[in-house]
Amino acid sequence: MSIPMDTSTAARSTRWRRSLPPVSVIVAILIAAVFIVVAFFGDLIAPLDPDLQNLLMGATAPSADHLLGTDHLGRDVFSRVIVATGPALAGPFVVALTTVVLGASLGLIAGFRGGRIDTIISRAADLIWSLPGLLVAIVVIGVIQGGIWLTVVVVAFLSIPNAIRQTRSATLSQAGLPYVAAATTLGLSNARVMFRHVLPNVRATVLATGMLDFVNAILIFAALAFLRIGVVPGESNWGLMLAEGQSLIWTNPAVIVAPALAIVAVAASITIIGDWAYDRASAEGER
Amino acid sequence: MTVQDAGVAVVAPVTVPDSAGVLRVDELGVSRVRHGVREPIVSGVGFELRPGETIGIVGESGSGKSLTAKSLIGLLPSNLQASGHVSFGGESLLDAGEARMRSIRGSVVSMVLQDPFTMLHPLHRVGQTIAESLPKTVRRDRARLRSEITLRLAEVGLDADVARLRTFELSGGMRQRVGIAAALAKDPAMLIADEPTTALDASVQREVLDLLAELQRARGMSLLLITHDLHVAFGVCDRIMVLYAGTMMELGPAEQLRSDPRHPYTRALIRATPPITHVLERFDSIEGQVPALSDVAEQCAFAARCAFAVEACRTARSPLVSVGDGHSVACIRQELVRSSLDMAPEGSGSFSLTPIETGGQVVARVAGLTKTFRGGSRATSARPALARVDFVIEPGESVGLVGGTGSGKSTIARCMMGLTTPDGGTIEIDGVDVSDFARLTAACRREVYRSVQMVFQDPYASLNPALTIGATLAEALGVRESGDVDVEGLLEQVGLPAAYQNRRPQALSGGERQRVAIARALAVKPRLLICDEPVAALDVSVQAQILELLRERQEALGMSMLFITHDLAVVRQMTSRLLVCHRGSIVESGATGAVLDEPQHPYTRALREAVA
Amino acid sequence: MGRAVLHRAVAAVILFLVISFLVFSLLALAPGSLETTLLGARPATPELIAAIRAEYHLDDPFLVQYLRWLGGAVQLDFGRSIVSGAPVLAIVSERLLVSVQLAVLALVFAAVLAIPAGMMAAAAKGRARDRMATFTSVLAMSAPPFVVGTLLIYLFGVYWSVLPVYGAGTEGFDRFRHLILPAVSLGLGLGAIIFRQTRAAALDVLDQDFITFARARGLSRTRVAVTYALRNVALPIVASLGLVLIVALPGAVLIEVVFSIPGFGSMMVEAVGAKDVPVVQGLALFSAVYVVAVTILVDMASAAVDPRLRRAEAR
Repeated sequence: MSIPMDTSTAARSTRWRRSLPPVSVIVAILIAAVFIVVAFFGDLIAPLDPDLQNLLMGATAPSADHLLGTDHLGRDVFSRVIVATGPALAGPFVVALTTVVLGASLGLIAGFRGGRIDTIISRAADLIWSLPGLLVAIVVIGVIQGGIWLTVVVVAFLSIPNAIRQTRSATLSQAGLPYVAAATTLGLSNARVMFRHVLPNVRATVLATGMLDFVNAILIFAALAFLRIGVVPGESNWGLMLAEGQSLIWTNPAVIVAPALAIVAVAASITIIGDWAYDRASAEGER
Repeated sequence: MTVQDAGVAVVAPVTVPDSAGVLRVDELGVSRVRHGVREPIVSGVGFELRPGETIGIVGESGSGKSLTAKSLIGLLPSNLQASGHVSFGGESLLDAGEARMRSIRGSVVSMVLQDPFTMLHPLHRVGQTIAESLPKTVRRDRARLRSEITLRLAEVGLDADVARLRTFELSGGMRQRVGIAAALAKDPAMLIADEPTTALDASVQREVLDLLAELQRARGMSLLLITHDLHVAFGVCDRIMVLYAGTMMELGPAEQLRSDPRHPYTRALIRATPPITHVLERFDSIEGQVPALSDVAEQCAFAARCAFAVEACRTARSPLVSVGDGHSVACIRQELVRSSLDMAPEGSGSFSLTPIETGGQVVARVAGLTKTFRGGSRATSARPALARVDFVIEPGESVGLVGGTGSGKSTIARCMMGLTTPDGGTIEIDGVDVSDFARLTAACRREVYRSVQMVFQDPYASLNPALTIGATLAEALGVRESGDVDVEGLLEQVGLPAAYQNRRPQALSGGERQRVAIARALAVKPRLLICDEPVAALDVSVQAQILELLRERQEALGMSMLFITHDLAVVRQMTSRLLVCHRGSIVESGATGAVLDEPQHPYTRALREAVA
Repeated sequence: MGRAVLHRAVAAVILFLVISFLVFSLLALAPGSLETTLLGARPATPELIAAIRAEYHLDDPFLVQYLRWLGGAVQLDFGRSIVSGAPVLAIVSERLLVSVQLAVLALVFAAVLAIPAGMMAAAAKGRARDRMATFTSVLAMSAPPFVVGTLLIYLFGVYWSVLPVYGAGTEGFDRFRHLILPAVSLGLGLGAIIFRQTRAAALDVLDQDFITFARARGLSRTRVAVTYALRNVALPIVASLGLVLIVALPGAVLIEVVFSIPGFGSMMVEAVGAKDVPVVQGLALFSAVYVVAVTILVDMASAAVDPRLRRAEAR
């Protein structure tokens, strides 16, 4: 037997070149990085006390003292936007993490095991998935009058079905492939086949779903806050700032434009990164 | 660039007084443009196709044969570009705009594709598919349209009432016939058939090829047949062009190529196809694999795998030169090649395969196996996949299992491996009753999987893309727990270098992946190896390597083998006993040679005749 | 086909029962005792409490209470608002129309824009047009309707003052003018979803052999685009429209609050804010019926588009 030719070096170098992210993704990563830094060190970065009221300075336009002006109570808008970053991302992050861990595991089990387990998990997931999520959150959180943790639980509960569905269908497309049959017929345990063989090959889907869930949670949290549900009046919160700032639209538009842009920027950049990561991971799997 | 000089010599000798109906291809190239870099895939292709003539373009996967065909009618994917000259009846096709090409396609040059299952609109009825290609004047007149459709269906051997069926209600062979009727609806002067029979069962392949040949004769049209199978081309074509790594190796009359091939690659290709009439003592495999054209731009593309190659082959392209009678070859060593290689098949009939004497109990016993698949959308799914299958595999014996698509042969293998649970009957592996794997204890199941292992058809999906080759093999070795052989030893057994253990499957070719899959199965030292179409997805030149490896390993390890295939010639090379599976039953069994030489059952005879 | 319909109907009934049970349980989950919840702002006199206990049968077991409530709901009796005392059904039906008008307008806007854009982007895959459209869709998805609404109010209402930004107007054209900005704000996000699904489905279809074969036979460009590409993209588009119809519901809630439209959604927020539990329950149940209806509609539309589904179900 001869040693077959090696042509893979050339292939590898072009693959590396292709894996360099496009400009839009680099910009998105930079924006996301800024938000993460601000989320962790917001209190240190904020130039002024976000809760310091000054009724004499209510709703002023941007100035040197107040980069984005002040709101109706004279609080510094810039500082409030910065301090609100942490809470705006922390809850959704917990939601995304929970969703990925629980949703991916259940989806993996449902897709791999099939049969009755699959039926039960899938039916439950379909049922919850068919609900209008935000509406359920409004009703449940509004009526029970819970705070941030209830919001996390409710939003995670509503997000898990999508993760299950996505992971399950990705698992199903892998489960029929001969490499899975080969692993099974080596006598390996189901858990080992699932987690060592199938999971690494559906990771693109799991990752993308997690990112999307993160974005969705950010938007739902903001929407609830905008409706003043699940939030404490007066706290620094993008959604709440938008709601409270509606009346200041004529005097200091920055009160609403700044948190609005923050929401869009963070959601868009994570979506772009998620899309790119998915394309890349799935392209790698195909090669 | 020196590449350009290669193809010039070909076109000259042929002179046709009139260019009407003649396809002229000259210096045709196809390249991929990626990140501003131009990467050639096909270069220097030139030939002429006259009215009423059939030319076959033969090549392995990656030879660029399909792209050559697509470039002729402007259907290349958007990331590929064609260059050179293509003209039909004097009109240049490469320079024609998309609007002009649209009117040429179908009515001047038409094309049928490889896969009949994906080629037709999934929701249309057959009548609709044909009608939409007919001229407007015919379509407006309902009665005329109906009779026209009936006529067109009759031409491809289908009944008139097929017109009412929807695509998904047809068999593969019927779909391909509908495809041909639709492609010919505008009565083109030339038809390109891109691997029209590859996706079909052997018995149907023959029918479709005959149909194509008949249509070509009756209509006096020219036919360009793209195929990977030299023998198909020999049967249908007037002239044959052999393509390798995007370049022309040889072009000439079919009869000459068969009796007097001049290029070492053409010879190797002919010899790599195993004979059905006798067992080869040694396979004539071509070592290595097809390179990318961009890697061999400045040399003979075949040089790296050629036994006759000298320094000159590796420093410059071999030009295509005429050797008379419209036969030309791109090999500077062709005189020597011709005198030194005997094309007569080797050792006719003297060699035979016999079971290895190992002793011990029966390896596998299958009795009264039945299975019916429920669900699925086909109305025919009520037919059982397996209806009482019985056979025994003795130690050291290699048993063949042949049958067409849907015959149930793969279901038998899956039942034996516990991947499908049979409805009834018993399966015994190495003395253990494994009729229902779900009822075995985990320890018992592990024990069974040390006795039986399987090699799957698709090498591209057989290995976990997330694990390195080393990790895949180490996991399999861990099951055995013996420690007398390591990953490197396993790789050596299947003819791969030790360095491969750090690679991932993506970096390996199909043949190499199948070697790794074999190594994984052999890691547990099974008493029985089930091979389910192990070479069906591989190129002819690589197939022989894998068959050789399997035969050699089976002998060395003294294991039994159940070899499942649709290919009678392959099964002759690999097995001593043969089971013929048809509609879920074993319809014939016996010594492989005897069954193939004197088939008894009508189904076996039909299979055998389709090959001859 | 009969079995499939029965299957669907059973699933729909189960879905409805589960949701209705959860909706009813809300009453018990609300903080404070049931009496105080049902009292609302009224003074807690012993007589009133006793009257409430009797009216709502609070001495019965929970399950009996639920069944009684469900029985009423099936006959369109959802009880009375705690705040206004008016029957819930009357309040809901009074405000439903404007919400439906808003949703239809938004959906039409989204579909008309997004389906052709998705096909176009897929046909020009990787080129500038595709990248621009895809980027726009990411922005539209990332901007929640209340953010878009607020910005549109600022631009069209404050900056240029060309369109009304408050309320729902009266009738006819005035209503339409009032709903333009809300519908655009809502439709943008919905359009982004439809766009992405259409683009993905079209990319998938354009890669198929049957498109190549259709072109190889010289079929006209329109025929390839419509009968081949669009027809086969229709199924995923129908599915995405169903998804969008469901997403539109909570989206409308936010939009109605932003633009002060007296619709179904704004009433939901008011009722939640006022702890008007019977109204919330009634609205939630209405939403459940809506969701179930959309699911069934999508199934029927899918079967109409794809005969393979009809056949698979008929078996």
